[in-house]
Amino acid sequence: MEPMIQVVDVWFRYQGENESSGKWALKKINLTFRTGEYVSIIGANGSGKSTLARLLNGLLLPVRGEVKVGGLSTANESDLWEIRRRVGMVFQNPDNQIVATTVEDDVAFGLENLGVPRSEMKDRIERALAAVGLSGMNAREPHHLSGGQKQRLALAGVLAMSPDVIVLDEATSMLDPQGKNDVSQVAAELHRMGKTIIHITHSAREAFRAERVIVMNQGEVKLDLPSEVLYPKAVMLKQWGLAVPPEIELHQRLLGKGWPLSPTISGKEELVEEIWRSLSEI
Amino acid sequence: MSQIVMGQYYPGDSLVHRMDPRAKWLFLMVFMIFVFWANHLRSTAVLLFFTLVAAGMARIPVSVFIRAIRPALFIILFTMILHLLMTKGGEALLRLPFITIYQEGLRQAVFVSARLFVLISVASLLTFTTSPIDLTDGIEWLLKPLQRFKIPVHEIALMMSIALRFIPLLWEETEKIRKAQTARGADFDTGFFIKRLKSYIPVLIPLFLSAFRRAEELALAMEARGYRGSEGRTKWRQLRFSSLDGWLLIVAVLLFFVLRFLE
Amino acid sequence: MEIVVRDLEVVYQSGTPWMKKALDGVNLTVPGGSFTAILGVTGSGKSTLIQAIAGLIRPTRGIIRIGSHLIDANRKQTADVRRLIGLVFQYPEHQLFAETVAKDIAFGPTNLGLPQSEVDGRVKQAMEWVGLDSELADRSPFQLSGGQMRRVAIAGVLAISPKILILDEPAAGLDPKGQEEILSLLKRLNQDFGVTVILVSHDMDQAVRYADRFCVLAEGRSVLSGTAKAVFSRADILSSYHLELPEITRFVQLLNRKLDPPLPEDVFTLDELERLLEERRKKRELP
Repeated sequence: MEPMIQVVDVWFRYQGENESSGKWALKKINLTFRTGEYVSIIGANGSGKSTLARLLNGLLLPVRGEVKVGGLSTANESDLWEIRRRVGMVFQNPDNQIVATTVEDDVAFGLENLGVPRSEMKDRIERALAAVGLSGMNAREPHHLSGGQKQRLALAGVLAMSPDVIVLDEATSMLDPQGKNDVSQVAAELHRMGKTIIHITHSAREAFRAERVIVMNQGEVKLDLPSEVLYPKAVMLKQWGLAVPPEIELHQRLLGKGWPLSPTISGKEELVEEIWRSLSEI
Repeated sequence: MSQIVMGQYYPGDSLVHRMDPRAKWLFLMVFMIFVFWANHLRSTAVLLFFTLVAAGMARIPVSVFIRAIRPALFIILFTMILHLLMTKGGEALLRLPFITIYQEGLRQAVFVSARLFVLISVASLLTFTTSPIDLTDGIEWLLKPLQRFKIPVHEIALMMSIALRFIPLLWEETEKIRKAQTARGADFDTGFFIKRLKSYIPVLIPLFLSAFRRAEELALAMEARGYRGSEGRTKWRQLRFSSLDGWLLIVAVLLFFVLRFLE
Repeated sequence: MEIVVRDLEVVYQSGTPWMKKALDGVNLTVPGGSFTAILGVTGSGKSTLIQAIAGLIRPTRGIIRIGSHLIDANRKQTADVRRLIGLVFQYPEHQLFAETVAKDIAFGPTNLGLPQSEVDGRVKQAMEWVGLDSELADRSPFQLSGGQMRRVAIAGVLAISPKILILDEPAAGLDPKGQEEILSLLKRLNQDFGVTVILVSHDMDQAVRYADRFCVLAEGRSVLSGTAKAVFSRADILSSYHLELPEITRFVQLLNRKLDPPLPEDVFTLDELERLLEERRKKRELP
């Protein structure tokens, strides 16, 4: 099957950056996203992860190389609108991506842009709101929603356009823990419904919810591994200024102190099991 | 704060609230013509009576109503006094050393202030009973004929509704920045005009920067959601005339005949 | 400097249909020189509380004592209080305005009416505290990175030399390294200079790593306060207000389903847990 998104040898630098200084925001990126995948991209601030996200739906165009969505190139201006329908995006600041003054009007915004007949809209709006858990809030003013609800509204707006891919561009970084959790849960739910999810974050905890983790640093892809392979080795994330899940940190420290634990663990439960086993031995 | 935010909209479910905003806009325009047409005290009284009945039907609490038109009351009072003192004619009703109040002055004072009161009340009634977004939709519809003259009516309406969406945010932000600078010892309350104006620089600069940042991000988000102007665009919000609006038309016609009879 | 809050009540837009009771009987004691975390979900009244303490919102009822200064519904001597308290709002970099970093940081001390030489000294000192290179002093703050801008903003508050420093989610939106840097800075100010620090946060793990006292707000009331042990032993109360225990504590609970005898549940940091487990293992090896 054809990959959903292909990033081929992409280099990018922002306009105004001195060309000769060679300061690239992205360097030689090669990535493939398959249909139905749940991928996270992590990196510290300035690692280029958000820039990469914006290349995926043609908000930015590569300086060198090519980005293809389902066979359509973002370099081809006439395909750009179809690409943006296929690749929906939720941004970081909940307040700055809601256009309309009520919840349902905002979900309708994308549909209006697509020229969807009004008779179809009602159904699509209702389904999108239901999928993100905002049913019945149609007439609410965005101003009165919590941060997490606003981001779910943004997700609904994207979802109504029936995209194939949803990119969450640090969509949880401004939310409180409950909001973060709600948005991540909705993302996981949409993945189960068959959407390709690309979650950009600087939280390792969130990143490991995905099936595959891409680590970025200074405009380059440092790692691209299945989640369960990277997880036990997550201590290495420290070198790129990223946080390590505490159970992994503990596991490493205990190993360092000579505890007879298994060299890799798959999760908290396994570490508990291992600690218990080594303490019960006499 | 919410008052500034929502203009004067007073949510409700009265007959007046349920009327189509376009019908209300049109009626307001016609009614304004009536007000200027009515040159007699008796016809203005009819319009005043109608206004009060309409306000009653909209079920806006008197206190809310008065608070909203309070700034205008001052102007009404001022005009009233002016007419009372300046207009000569008819019998002198009261003679004081410097002031003489004539019958015509009293008539004019009552007439002009009643007229002003009616105008302001009816206009307020529209904003009281119509949500800002409906008002915008109504305006978009009214302006539609201008599209022939290449006036970007859709863009104007979208701009107005985005403004409605962002005014509360920017208002909150202003408050926050003001407080933050106050906490750093800024003083916004003393000194003369220029000094005060200058003291607002640490508020205005961050506010503008923030507004630009928001505009930029919003533009990006709109682009990502496939916005590319009015072409090929459908519309979700739909206004629908109902029998209620028919009644509004009948009221307008009735008022017309009553006024014609009285004038 | 000590802060005592008694029966604090703040009502917004009183007497209108939009009336809202933001604080409804808050009691809080912040010992001088402590590092106190105010915890609570969004909308619990955290922001209102710190603004009332900083003298930016007048209480509707109740009393706040800061050192020997009193704030209540009738008194208006907040200007004195503001000199003692530095308040850092959320995303403080959005309040920068001056042409250069140094000028922005100088805004506070200049407003205090200090002589120029003193102002310059404070700017230099504040930049040093937050770890900003002195070369940046003449740069425009708007050309800096997000993390640097945040530090300029914090330096601008430190330059007032507050006895009490209150920060609303100072690490929000930063990456883990940036968060760590800001919070370590606060810890240093607290330990080395005796500044009373009040940290508003919804991140339990962060709070428990740096603070020594805690106050939990929910629905405009103070529902728990005291040391980590006193607060986090009440998982029942916390969870009823949608607050979680620190991640390490939850991990200990998971361990205790297996371990016999169980570990004490007042373990909040990784270092503590590691130490406890090591002790346990050595005890087992001895006999």
